[in-house]
Amino acid sequence: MSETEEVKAFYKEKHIAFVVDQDSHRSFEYWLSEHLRMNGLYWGVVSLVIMNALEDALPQNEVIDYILSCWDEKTGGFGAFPKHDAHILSTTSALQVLKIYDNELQVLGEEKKEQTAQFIKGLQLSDGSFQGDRFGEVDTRFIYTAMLSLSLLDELTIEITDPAIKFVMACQNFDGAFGMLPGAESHAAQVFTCIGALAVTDNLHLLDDDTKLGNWLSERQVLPSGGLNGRPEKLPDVCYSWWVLSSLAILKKKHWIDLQKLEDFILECQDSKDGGIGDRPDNQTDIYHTCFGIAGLSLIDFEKYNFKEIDPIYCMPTEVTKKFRKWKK
Amino acid sequence: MSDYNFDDVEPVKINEEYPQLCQILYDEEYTKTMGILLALLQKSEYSERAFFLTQKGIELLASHYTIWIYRFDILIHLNKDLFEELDWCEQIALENEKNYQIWNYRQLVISRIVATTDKSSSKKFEPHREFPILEAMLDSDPKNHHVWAYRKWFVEKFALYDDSKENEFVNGVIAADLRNNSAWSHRFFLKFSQDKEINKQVFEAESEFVQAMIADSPQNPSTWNYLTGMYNKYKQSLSELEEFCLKFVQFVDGQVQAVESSYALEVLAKIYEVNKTDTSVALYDALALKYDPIRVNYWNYQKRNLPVAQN
Repeated sequence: MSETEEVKAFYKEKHIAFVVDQDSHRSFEYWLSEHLRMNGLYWGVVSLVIMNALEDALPQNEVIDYILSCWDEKTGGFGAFPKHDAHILSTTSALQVLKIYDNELQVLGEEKKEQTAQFIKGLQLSDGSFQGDRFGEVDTRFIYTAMLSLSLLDELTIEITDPAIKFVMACQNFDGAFGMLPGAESHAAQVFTCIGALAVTDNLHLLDDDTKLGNWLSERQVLPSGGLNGRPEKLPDVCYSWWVLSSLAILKKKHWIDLQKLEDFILECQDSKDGGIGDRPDNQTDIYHTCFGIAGLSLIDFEKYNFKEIDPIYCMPTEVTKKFRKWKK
Repeated sequence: MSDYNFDDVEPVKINEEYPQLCQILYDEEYTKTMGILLALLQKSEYSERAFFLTQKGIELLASHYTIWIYRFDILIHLNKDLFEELDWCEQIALENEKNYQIWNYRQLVISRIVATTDKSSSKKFEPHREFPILEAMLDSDPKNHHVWAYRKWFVEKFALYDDSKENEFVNGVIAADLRNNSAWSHRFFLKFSQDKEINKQVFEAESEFVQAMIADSPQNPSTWNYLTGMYNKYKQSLSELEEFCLKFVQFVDGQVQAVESSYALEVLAKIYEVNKTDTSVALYDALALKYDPIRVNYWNYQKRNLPVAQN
């Protein structure tokens, strides 16, 4: 027990205001600029829904209007911003938000659902991996988001998943963890996307001994802060409270890190004055770190904070994901 | 904008028509440039003035992937000099260190050069040409994840695994910082990604090298991961490392003491699993109680999974 026995507060109302208040974000050019706008919307929605504050805070019809305005007529799928080319990441964020509001995605309609599925399937390459868009960038993040999106659309098939998962397994490194491409450096965010892809496609059994991986993940916790980093010898960052902890949760090994210390770290990254959560204590806050700080707290102890429980595979509330038709091989 | 005339172009109004939720306060230069650029894109205009404008657009927002795609399309359509494009790209890279679209774009351009140039031509792509920019980027941020990923792609594309300059480079980064995990990761890739079967000579040389690096800085996760990673990959027995590990810990009356490396304890515990299970237990206890207590649950898990000690 700590000396002072101080109970750290979670500044819920301030965080809600932070997410909703557009004006205060004008200076956060990077996170809310056009190419991340759809992702930013998803991060905001997840933050609010986990805090049980979504309905009152954001007008549902405006959110849906925005998402639909990002529909790419040429290819199907969604861009980050109106008139942007569709991309797998913005498509996934769009689907996740729509699915939180409506499990049947009625607002999309059958035709758009079909076109979106075609867009995603069209991004798969012959080696099983996925491009983000026709620019051609390949990264295991895109495999995960593709699997996730196709799962949300009930469009997974073995012809898609088998080669994709083969590629994912080729990305496992000598340290037991995963990188963005075969042979690339292990990185916690890539570990999450690889494990997530395995989980969504009913392939977790392929990790026949996940001890080494669990070990690598548990080594992300650093002292004295108690925060988590993304790879050895890097600084802790609140977003890894999600990437690392959700990975451990999927492997049923959350307790392999010190959850109390991590919780304290996340709480210390809050801005108690203006709301929002930053990557490290006393640093600039933003919507991305706010989302994953809150998601981390939900994974640690959702009941304590009166949060909704978050699903570590989908990064969406479990009350939403339990309605999914989960695909089995 | 002064070199080219855009009077005939009706700019896309990037703010006015869109739902309230995406109002961004752009400045005038951004609005003007992007408005015209998007209009040209919609018309599929592949011209010098469009090319010029993509540069402006990228300078304003280097992460706007739609502009990169457009620029590449124009590059091909106008059959522009690809080497000049690479030079331009380097400038943008140096000014936008966190940007990763640049590296994907670079791959596209280089792949195009290789695909369209005869192998015997004097204009063919010389791989070492890339070294200065990569060195500059990694000098500035030695752990830049995207640049290392690009470098890996580059090694694969031009089969530089045994290239002396490439190996010299990675050795240099390691020498500058023994704890640079990206460098160790890249080294593993250079030395071992090609061989499914063990190459005894390489294996032994690397083992010796890493052990020397560990001796310099025993509490370094990268080097220990590298060493055990080698042994795992080629299914070599960890017990070969027993003597080495014992340099970093002493046993006095069955007690673990004078520990210079918690990783040494971990490896020894694995080595003694079957034949000296009691010692493994002592090692896991030492880790859980003293040398790495934040992971107490993990150490207890390992302890529980030990084969039952023979009495």
